Amino acid sequence: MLDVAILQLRIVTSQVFGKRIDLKALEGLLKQTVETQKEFGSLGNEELARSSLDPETAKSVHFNRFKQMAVIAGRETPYYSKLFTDRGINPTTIKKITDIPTTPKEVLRDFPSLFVRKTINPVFRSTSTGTTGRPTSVFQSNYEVMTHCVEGALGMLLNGRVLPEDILMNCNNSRAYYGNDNLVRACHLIGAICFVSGQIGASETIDYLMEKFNLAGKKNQISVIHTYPSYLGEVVEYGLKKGYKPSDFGLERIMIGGGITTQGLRDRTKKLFGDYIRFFEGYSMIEIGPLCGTKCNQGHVHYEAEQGIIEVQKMESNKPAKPGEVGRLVATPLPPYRETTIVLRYNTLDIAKPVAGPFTCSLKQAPTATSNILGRFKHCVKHEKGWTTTRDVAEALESIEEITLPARYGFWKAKGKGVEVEVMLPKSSAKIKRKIISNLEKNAVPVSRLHVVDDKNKLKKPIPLRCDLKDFTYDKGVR
Amino acid sequence: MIIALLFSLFTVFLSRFYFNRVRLSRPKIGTYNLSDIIVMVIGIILIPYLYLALPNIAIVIFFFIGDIFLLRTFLTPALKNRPALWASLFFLGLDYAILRHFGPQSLTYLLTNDILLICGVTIITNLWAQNGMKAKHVSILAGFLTFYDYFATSAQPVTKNLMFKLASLPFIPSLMGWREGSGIAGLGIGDLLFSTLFPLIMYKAFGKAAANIAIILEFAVLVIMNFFLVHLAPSGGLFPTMLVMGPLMVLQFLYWYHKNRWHERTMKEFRHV
Repeated sequence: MLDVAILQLRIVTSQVFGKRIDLKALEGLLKQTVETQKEFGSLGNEELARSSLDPETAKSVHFNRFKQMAVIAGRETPYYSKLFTDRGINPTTIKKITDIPTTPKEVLRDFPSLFVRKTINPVFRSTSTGTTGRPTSVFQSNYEVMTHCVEGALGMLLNGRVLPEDILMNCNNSRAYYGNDNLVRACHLIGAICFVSGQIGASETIDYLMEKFNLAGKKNQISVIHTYPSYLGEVVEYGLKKGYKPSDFGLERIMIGGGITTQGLRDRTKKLFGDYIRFFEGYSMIEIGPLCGTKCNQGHVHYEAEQGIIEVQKMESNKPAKPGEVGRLVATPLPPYRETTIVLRYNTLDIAKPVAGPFTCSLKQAPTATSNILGRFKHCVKHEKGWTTTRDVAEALESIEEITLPARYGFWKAKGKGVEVEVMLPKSSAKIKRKIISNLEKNAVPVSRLHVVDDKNKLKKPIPLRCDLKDFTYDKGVR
Repeated sequence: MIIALLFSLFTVFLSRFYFNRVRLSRPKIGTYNLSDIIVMVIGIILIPYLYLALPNIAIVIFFFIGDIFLLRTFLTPALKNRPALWASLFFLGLDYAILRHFGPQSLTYLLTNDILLICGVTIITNLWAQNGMKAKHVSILAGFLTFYDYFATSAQPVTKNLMFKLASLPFIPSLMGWREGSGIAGLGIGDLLFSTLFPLIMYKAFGKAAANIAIILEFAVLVIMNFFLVHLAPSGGLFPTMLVMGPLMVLQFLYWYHKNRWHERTMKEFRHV
């Protein structure tokens, strides 16, 4: 027990001074966490010691770390070196983080090596899934690869997402290698079984979820699944259609991300797998990793202040968005969590609304928060009443039972007023159309015209879904 | 001595009762391991010398703060936080007043002293047991104490000097004692702690039978030792109890560990049962 205090002190010291995290200390802390879980079956009820700086001091600490990162970026990366020279920016004398312009997504996507530090040896290149075009890539050092998986394991254990007795099925696309690799290694460190199935047919996934095991110290069936919302929708749709019930499965937790998780999807998932299913949602992207957000019990997404800085800018200007106003997420991952590919004020082009505290939720100790992610900037539509985001449309559609999961849809600005929405609906009727329009209007979508198609290939501007990035097998699944 | 032994027996059962009824809060991460035992061993060796070197006032303040924590923790399940704190302060105030008025050898003071010890030992043993201390850890400590107790009590006057220094200081119950003739007979705090801890940990690790046998053996040894010391070879001084109890504890652990196929229950398994 005393060694836990020493390990935590070593980790906090490196966080405060922005030095590389002591990997041995992190591994030691993880080992102690696993031992605690095994001894007691749960972690203790006292909160972990955290740095509890007042907001002003925290802001000052962040700014200093940002400045430190900017100085290094100017010295060691071609992109920022040229940017600072061209714009006459001296990173040692900046007064606020907005003195440095945002980094456009397309530059990182097209020229990732311009952001890599000259003095760090990159050993891995991770790529995004590329749902908005060509995948973006980021390079990592060995230190980052090792610490990210240990931190990931610690985070999963502390939040109760994965336990040593779990059997986890990873249904993400095999090209999301960095995330998949992190998850597998994290499970190994925790002592859980991680089974990488890839994004196979829904029938095959149902097959695996029903499979029974007889392994000492492990659950009888797959207890955790890691997947995208659209793929989960496919699996749930298939399972419900085939008449499966919660008693057929041993699933307890769903780790979900990389898309819009709607209330309709959650409700139908509970119908198939049981009301006791717990969802773990969050926000992450390769470009800003390991800075990521975790969803609390009140629906906000909270970000760990030690990992980086999150800003929300207005949709069409660089000014900060007000609480409740739709804006673009701008993120800066900070040392010691990020060292190889430096991005300062990276324009993620993901949309959210800033949320102001004070918070009373389960993650109130992480005061930087936004709403749940609303979609991509590219897919949002501006109209006379404001903005319509992907989430507005998805929530409206997936709450309708007649719409098969995942909802296939698109939307664009109408020539006159409002928004035109298209949706795939195998069996349409006037009643269902009225229901769709009514739901959309309840979600503040000013529908001017609704297009209904019976085949997803007939959609004109479909929102891309990750469930279409299939890993194919020869097995046809459930007998 | 018999009264003192009865109080000690009561402490053993009270700590088991507390273990079954009360869940003490524990840190989010952490369970006892070998490094903690090593730190305890170092502490057991160094702390007596530290106390002998420190001025009395420093020791009194340190123990006062410790007693507040232990009493408050003991009372909180029944009284909630603030009333438990006030009750603890009241009891310690009473303890001090009795010491000043009746003296350290009075029966009244011995009684309040013993009550303080009962509460303190119950909490300390529960903190250790509920934070994952294992039977193998206790048996390692018992093995160490077999030699150390002899060294500190018989070979060197460490324990004797310490007891004389602390005997008249308030808030430092170093002996579970009772009047016997013109003096006081009892069980030292270290021996009491171990006699309470060992059955509790054996209860968690191997079940009621192991715990009850440990209690019977312990107190049988204590009664026989008392008879020997009082009637057959009266020394009128201190006896290193762990010299006899230590090896007995180690043997019991090895027996039950082997019987249980080299496995002792975790807290999770204990609570499941």
